[in-house]
Amino acid sequence: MLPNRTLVATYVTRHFRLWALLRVGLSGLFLLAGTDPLRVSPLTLGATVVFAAVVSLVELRRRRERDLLGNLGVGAVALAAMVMVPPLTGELLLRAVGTFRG
Amino acid sequence: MTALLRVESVAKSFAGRRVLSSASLRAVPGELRVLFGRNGIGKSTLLKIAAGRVAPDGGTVHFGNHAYLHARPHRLAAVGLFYLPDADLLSSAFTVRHQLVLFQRQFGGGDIGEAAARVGIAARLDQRPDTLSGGERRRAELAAVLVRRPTCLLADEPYRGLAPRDAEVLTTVLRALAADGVAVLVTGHEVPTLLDAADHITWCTSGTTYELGPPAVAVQHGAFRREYLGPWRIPLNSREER
Repeated sequence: MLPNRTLVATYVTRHFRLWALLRVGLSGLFLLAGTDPLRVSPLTLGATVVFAAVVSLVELRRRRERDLLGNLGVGAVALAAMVMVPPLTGELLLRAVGTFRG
Repeated sequence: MTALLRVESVAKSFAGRRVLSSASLRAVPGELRVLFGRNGIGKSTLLKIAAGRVAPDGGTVHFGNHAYLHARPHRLAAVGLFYLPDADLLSSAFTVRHQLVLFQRQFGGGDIGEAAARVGIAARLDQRPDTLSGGERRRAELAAVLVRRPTCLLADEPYRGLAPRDAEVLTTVLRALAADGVAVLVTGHEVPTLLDAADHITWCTSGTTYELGPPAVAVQHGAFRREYLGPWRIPLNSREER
């Protein structure tokens, strides 16, 4: 069973916000390390996506939403997609901006 | 009537401690069944196995015509099961209305306003659950059940901590669901309330379960009275007879 659009929008929006907050903090660290925050290596990009997804899962656990999502018919695959897609999209957008900026 | 949910001979151990050795459970459409048992005896574990929240070490879960060696919550939810945990179900991140909308859109559920009015939380719909009292949160969860319109409801200690008025609302809704053909199964220790509401009693003890039958028959079961109800819980009629 696929999650409905309202459910997806609700969680994707929240996880995108979480990623954005996280990315602001990480960008500061990248600048301190002398790295352009918009042109991180693929490895760093992947690590950032995984880190943001883990933070999203921690947030789900903190709010004890697993039973709610289970009752809504959201399984592990759909959940993984909902926590991975927002940070991945965000990182790819930032990377595109960095590439176009030159 | 045929059981919609059947849990057959499940076993479960935690860190080497066997909680369930061969326990079974049934939820039957149109019946409100109560699972009694002492604290720590495995009632919640059995319910979680039935809902797919916990994987059993052995045994099977049947829902409808399907048998699951390892049932998954989302698969059971998709075919009509609703699990009400002993902790809060609704998230504090979103308003009650928003979460009811999620159920309504996901399952083509019932009317939100009607469900909220039925459990008396119409004025609280735009609040987040963490701003509600415990009784109101439980009512909001009941509204979610009504919007979802499940075919089977498993509720783990739904009466715990509820004021008498909220408990009355809960009983009314559970009885109405059963009358509508939903298979309802609840656990709890609120013996007078649950005996009054139940159609059938199951007793969980020593890692297994016993189907005791209707409450009037169950309370006459010697071991159940001795080991669970205690001498003080002899029904009024029996006391008068003595």
